[in-house]
Amino acid sequence: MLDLIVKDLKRVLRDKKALAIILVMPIILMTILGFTVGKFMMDSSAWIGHVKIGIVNLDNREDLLDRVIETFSAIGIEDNSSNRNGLEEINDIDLVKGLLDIFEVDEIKSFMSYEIFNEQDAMEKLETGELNSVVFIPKDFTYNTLLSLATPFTQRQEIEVIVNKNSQFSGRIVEEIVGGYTNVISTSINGKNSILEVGAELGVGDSLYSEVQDAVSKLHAGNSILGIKIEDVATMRAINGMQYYAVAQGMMFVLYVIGFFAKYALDEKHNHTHDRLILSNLSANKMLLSLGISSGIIVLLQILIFSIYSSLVFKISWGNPANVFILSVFVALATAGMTILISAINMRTSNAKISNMFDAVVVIILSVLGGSFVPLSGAPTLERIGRLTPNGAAINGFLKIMQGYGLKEIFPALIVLCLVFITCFMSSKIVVGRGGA
Amino acid sequence: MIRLKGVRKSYKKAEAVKGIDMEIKEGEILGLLGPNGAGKSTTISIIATLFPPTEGEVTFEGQDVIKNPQAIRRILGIVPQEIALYPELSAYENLKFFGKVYGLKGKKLEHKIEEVLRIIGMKEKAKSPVKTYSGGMKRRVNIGCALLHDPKLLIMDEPTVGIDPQSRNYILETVKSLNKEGMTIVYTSHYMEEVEYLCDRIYIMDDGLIIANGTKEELKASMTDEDTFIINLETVEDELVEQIKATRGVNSLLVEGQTLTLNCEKNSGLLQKILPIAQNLDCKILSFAVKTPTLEDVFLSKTGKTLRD
Repeated sequence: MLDLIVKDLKRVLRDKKALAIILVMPIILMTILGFTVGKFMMDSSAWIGHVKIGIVNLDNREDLLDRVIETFSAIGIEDNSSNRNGLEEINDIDLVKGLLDIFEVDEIKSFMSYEIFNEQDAMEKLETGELNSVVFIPKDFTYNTLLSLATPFTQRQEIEVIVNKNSQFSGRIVEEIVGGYTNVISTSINGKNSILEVGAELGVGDSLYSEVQDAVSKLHAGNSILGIKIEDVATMRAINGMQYYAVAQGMMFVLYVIGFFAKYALDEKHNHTHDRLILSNLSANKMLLSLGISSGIIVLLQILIFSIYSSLVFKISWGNPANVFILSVFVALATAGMTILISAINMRTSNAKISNMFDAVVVIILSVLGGSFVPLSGAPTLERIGRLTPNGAAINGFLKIMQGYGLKEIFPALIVLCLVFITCFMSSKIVVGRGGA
Repeated sequence: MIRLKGVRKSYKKAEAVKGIDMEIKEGEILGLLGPNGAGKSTTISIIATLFPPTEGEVTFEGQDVIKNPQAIRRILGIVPQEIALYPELSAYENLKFFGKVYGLKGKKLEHKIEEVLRIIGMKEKAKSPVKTYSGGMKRRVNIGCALLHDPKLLIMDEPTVGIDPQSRNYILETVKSLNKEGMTIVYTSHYMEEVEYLCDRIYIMDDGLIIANGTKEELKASMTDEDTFIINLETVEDELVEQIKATRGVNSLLVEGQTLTLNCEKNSGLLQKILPIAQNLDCKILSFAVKTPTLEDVFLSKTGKTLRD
């Protein structure tokens, strides 16, 4: 078996055409795409796809009116029946709904949608990439804002926006929307004179006025009462265009290894070296397995070269080397499975139609679905399908490792790659079994 | 050594071998002669257990090789018509790979490679990639790869196709020499001269059938009741042509330049009749030859077509 593997490796490593396609082309393309599309995509792309937002509403509206009146009393606004009647409108004020109404505007709804989650669920979905951003409405948001609006006392509070690092640009849009809303409220507070007028009508104006004046002067000095705090998810690193295309193009050209080995298998049959091997009592299964192992070794070599090249030239880190190695082995395994299957079909049919079709059509389809040309985060259905492709799973896995995720997070990718191997290997058994390769 | 009985091989669209009997005797060079498409390659592939016949028996020293192909594979070397080598590897690497596949290793393998390189005359170029070799060199390495495991039976399928005369001679001499050392050889070709030069016994195939077999002498003796004479003259006079044509026993006369080709009845004593005619007409005879029948003529007489048709 070792002799067969060494022979197959020597063949591909001395085949200039094969080396050009499986090593040189991806390096050229990852460089070009990284510098052009990748830069555009990560810095200022207009292409953001559909943005999913999670809203965590911690605002407490319970006994809102009572608490407001109690506070008013505490600061000297007396609680009497006429005042209470005037303040009952407070119950109708829903500042959170005001924010959510912005997301319901048709123009925004066309590319952005939200759902309400509890804090834990929201963070989990953000980490898995199901949500692009999470907006945290702080506790007593309405209460504090009302006090800021109606009293000279301001309560500094922040609506927190946490952005997934894979969704930097769409995250920026969420930040702008929330920021715009908080600015509106801040401006309203700055115009609290009008509230004071209401206070005066309620008979509390004189005692309130001097303190409010002071507060208003501070507000006009530029203090913002409502703020927006923007954070990234945990400590995960962002992916730039270079990193994306180093992985995406690399994984596309991994697929071309399959076609080359399948053609070598057919060559062996056509030039009768296969006959010599059969006469030495080597089984077809052993020959196919050797092709699979050789292709897997070439894939490991490819990934090593891509990572070294991108690290040296683009200063890209591929993340934890152990995790990169583990995922690479699974990519090699999936490739080996596909090589065995396509080689078996080639030998069974005695022609290269299937391997040619694989190179010309299947690789392109897999590349599009897997995100080798453009990221699919804007097309959730395609993205989900893409993650089931071997290259898509590999891209997803490598990007997660680059971001600092561990084995647990790349586990789905490992499962997909493993399933690809098992499916292809078992299918090749059926192909070989029907008359032998 | 090997017997084929009633062997037939059918494919979807055609019958390549239509029920043949054959025997390969130990130590001989057996020729399989026939035009392209005669069924030679199919026959040797069946003998080599590369695929089973549709019908019939193949036995090696009494054992059924269809049921037990391993019985014959270990003693078999095959030289396919195609260059069955890895072009990216050198002759040495090809030999080493196939040697290992056949279970040779270590010093024994190195020694065997050395010996085979000497036999095929490729010692000096052994380390260059096969794809850089001439056609003749590739053919020689192709043979070498079949010799590594000291096969008792060597099957060679058109081993000299498309090569220069020098390499061809080298290969023919190599085959002779291997046979002298005891190797049984099955040699297929559509080159009549090669088969005639090398083989002890010959099977002539056409259209999936064996149309004749025997030693070359037996084959030639079986085919003709005519003698053919070729006469080269200094000048050809019409009168001479007319008188020869009129001579008793001459069946046909072909004039090509200064050469006359005569077909006449066997043992008709034509020479004694023609010489006086030429002397009387003052025509100088430059050469006179009796053409012996060739395997080509045998094939022609059995099938009505030439080997290259």
